[in-house]
Amino acid sequence: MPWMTVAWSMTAGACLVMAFVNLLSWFAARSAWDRLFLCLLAAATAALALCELWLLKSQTPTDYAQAVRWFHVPAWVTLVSLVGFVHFHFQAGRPWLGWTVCGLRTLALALNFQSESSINYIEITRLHKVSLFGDSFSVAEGILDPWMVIGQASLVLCVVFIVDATLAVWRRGDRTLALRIGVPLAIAVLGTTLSVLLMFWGGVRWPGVGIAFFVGFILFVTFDLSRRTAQAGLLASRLGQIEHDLQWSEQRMLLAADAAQLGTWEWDLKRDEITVSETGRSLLGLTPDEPLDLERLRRALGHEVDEAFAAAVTRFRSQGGRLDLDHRVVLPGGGERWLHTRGSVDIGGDADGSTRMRGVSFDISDRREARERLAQVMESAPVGLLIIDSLGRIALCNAQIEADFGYLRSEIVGQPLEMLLQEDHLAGPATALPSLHLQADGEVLGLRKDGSRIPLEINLKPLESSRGQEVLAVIANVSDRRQRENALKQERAFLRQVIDINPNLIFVKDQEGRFTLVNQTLAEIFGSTVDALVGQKDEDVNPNAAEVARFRQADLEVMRTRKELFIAEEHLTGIAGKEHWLQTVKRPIPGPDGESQLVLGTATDITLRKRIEQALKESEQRFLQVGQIAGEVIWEIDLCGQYIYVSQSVERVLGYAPHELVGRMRLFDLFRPADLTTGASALLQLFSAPQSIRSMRNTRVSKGGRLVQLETSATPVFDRQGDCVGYRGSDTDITRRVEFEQEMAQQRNELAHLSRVSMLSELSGSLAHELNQPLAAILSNAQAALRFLSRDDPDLDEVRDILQDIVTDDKRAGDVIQGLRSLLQKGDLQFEALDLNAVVQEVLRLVRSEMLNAGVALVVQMAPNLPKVQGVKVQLQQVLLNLVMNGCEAMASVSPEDHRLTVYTDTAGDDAVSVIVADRGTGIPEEDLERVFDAFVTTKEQGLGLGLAVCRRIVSAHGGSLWATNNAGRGASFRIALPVGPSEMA
Amino acid sequence: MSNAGPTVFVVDDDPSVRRALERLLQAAGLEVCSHATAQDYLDHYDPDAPGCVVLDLAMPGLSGLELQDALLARGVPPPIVFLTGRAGVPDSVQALKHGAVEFLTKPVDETTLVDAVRKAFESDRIERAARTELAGISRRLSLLTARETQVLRCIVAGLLNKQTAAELDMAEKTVKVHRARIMEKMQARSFAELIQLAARACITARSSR
Repeated sequence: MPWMTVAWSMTAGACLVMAFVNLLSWFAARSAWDRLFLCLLAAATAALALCELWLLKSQTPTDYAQAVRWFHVPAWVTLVSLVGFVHFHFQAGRPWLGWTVCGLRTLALALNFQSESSINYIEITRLHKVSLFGDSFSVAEGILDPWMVIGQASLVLCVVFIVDATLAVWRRGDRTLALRIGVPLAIAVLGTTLSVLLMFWGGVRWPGVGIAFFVGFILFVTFDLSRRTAQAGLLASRLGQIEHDLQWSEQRMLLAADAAQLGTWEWDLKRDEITVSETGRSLLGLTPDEPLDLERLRRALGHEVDEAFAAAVTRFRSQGGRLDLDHRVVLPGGGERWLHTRGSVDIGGDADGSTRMRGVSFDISDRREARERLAQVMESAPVGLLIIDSLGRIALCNAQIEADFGYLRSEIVGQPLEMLLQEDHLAGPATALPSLHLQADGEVLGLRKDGSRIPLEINLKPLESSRGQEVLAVIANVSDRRQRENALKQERAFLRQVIDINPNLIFVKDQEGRFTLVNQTLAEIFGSTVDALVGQKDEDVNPNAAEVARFRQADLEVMRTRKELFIAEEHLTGIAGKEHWLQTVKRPIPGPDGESQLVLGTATDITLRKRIEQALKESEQRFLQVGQIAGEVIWEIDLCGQYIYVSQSVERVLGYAPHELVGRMRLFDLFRPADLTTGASALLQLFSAPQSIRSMRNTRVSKGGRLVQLETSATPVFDRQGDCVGYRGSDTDITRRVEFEQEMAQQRNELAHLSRVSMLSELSGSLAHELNQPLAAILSNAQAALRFLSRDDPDLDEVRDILQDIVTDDKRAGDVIQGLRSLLQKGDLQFEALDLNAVVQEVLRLVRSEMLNAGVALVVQMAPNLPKVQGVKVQLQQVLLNLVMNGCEAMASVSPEDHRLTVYTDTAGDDAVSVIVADRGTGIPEEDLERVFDAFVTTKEQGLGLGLAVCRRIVSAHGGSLWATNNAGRGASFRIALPVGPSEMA
Repeated sequence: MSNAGPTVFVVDDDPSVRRALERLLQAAGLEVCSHATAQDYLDHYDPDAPGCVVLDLAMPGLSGLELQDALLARGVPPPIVFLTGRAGVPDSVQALKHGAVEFLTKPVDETTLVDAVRKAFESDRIERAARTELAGISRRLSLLTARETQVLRCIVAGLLNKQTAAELDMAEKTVKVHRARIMEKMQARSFAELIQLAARACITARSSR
């Protein structure tokens, strides 16, 4: 038998076997479609082998063509099942490529059977035999059909499809699969494709090469799969063992769960069947027989969870997931219990495809209670408490933290601790916190939500917990404490101030005599400071050893007797030996240890009082001496005026020796008899009521009958009951002074007169004019009258008019002369009530011509109904004349348009009238406004400088005032203010 | 020239003095017109009115001396008789220097006053006549031609006809003709009168040519 026939047949047989094996394995797992396609592939390969054998052994071209024609059928199956295998085994490959491959192959098959011969050959002309290793096979020769490209294209595409799928698997990460199946498959198909292409287009005749690739591949894959099947068997047996172990394990677990009071449960979410272990039932408060469904479970969990429960059930059904929560269970008896439940859902994950949730629950009521208690403790803690987890985040906080930082709990929990602290304080990462101990040294500042800062004291304690390393942070808000401290400080400072500003000396000494407290006043006495003095002893600052010993003795006495000690007067030597007199109170006070005694002392500085007492004594003596020297008579009388005491000087003043007066004469006996009824009675009146008199002038008669002018001051003397018992007083001899004053007054008057006369002489020209005017009129009128009368028919009416005019002019002349006379008058000057307007008018008449001559315009503004003043007319006129003439002279140097003098009269308040003479001259330098009234100050070349000085003296004598001001515009104003009503001349 | 007789203008601010003066002067047969202020007089001043002023010295507004100066400034003042109540030497000197006729003091005797007024009238009359004559000469001089004026100046300078002809570069005969015409125009009856007229009119030898 030729070997080719044997080999090809064996190959076909092997392939059939493999097809059978794969068919069996497909039956074992129907869903393993790749096995079915592998089976088809193997079967088709077997068919291909047989067809090729037919080709090789065909004897005629017709036979050969027939074989080629039928060859395409298994070829189609091969390709399609190849595509199917790749698709199902790899779960990859581009579907459109697979479909294209199948489509092209089908098209090729259709064309194959459409043609008369086959798709490969239009016509096979002849066969020739080729011998190989002792056997021979046929090779066709003929016209190739170009349509066979379609079939070959399907092969090429198939290669592309497989390579693509293999790459996809590779990329997917399933590299074993790609290397083990994909690469061999690709090589097999590529080899086949190349051999076909070479056979038809290259004329290479290597029988069986194409099949060989396939057979190799099928062998390889089948072996591979079989090996894995064997492995699966091994695993299955191991699984059985494990399952057995598991059952044991489950039982053990249940036992353990029961022992641990763990309730286990299982919940078929599709069927809503809930199975719970016995422990689980008791945890849920169910009796062992009570059926458990969703409704019952819901009731057990309490109604408040209804909505959440429903939502959770829905979620688990659709998505699965994990469950890990604390929840409450309502017990049938009305109590409740807290459980912690954990579970998970695996959708369709069970062997039977159902979805179950399995889990355990355990009682955490105790833990919960403890936790709540802890929470309450935390909550009610007066300091802020934080629990920080291992990541440095805040896990828990209490109400105090909320209050201190202004955050809500929800805003803090989960945040890093840094959010509560000012950045500078946390240099390292938060995880370093457990080793961190922050001190409240005023530099740890907390950051509140509103951005403000609060001082904090932070203590960190590491906590070991199930959640790993945690830290308990105790945060004390020390701002209140700061405030209290500050308040205390302020109060201390205040008290310190109170002590320091106290004018008394305040100190505390300990048993050794050291100052433990002193005030500023005391420190200043020693020229020291409070700080320096504290801790020192008296002997350290006081050089007077006797004093120091006395102080120490008193201190020891107070400490011994424990009684207050009052020292009415004691002496203290201060800095630079300055002496102080003190009135001291020393009082025992308990020391800080309650045992020892301290001495609290307060001392009032009575140095001044002592000094005043001393001074008083000296003063009395001095006063008497001064009185003697000053020529004053010091006396004391009783209510009747009887002399009780009179100083020695009385002899010099009144001629009486003191003993002649004391007890023998009364004060009033020395008055002139006339004065007792008239002048001096005023003095008597004063003595009738207890009151002081000051500088009252009176006249007494001396022993020799001489009149003595005295100025007497006296003050009443009261006894303890407040009754007046007499007077003390002094008399000063002013006889010489009075004489001098009278002399002065006379001289003043003469000076005023002189001044007047000199002024009138200055005015003589003007006065002559004033007099000549009426005289001229009189003369002319008289001569005119004579002429009229000498006429034949004299007009007598005219003459009468003339005579009337003459009378008027004569009076006018008389007035002028009268005015002059009064101005020139000398001697006794009488006060009288005067109309100031009339006085002014009279003066202005006298100077009218003078002013005309000087080209000065006069403006007069008289206030009507001026109250009268008491005055000496001629003197006031003198003043006015002086002022008017001064005003005219002041304007001599200014341009003629400004030659205007204004004279006003006006009231000045209720009790005064004023006259103002305002010029428009050059004014008076500001510094001279007062000086112009000094005597011998003048601006005139020929003036004596007495005018204004005299004027001021006159006005003062009238009780008025005269002063000068500069006008706002130009020039100066002289103002006279005179009191209304009675006035006296000094 | 006014046809009216001379008037005494009394200027005094004192009404009683003013009235008394008015009465006295009227009684003396004089025409009187009085004014209370110098300004009032100045406002009514008529240069052609003949007469004189009796003027007070010290008055409000314009003083007597100031009025005198104001009248001088206006040209030819009327003669002034000052009458004052206070006679200062400086005032009287200034008044007389400025052409016052008299400086009298109050009270004044009627004779003194009336004499002074009459003297002033006379002075005014002579002054006015002189002014009238001078005006006539001036009018006649204005009739001369420029050449004739030149010839006249030479004649006044005392040049002979021959010298004049040489000076003015003309024939001696022509000088003679000019001379005759000058005599005729100036209505001079003799050569001496011509010289006199020229002197009155202040024609001098100094030619202003």
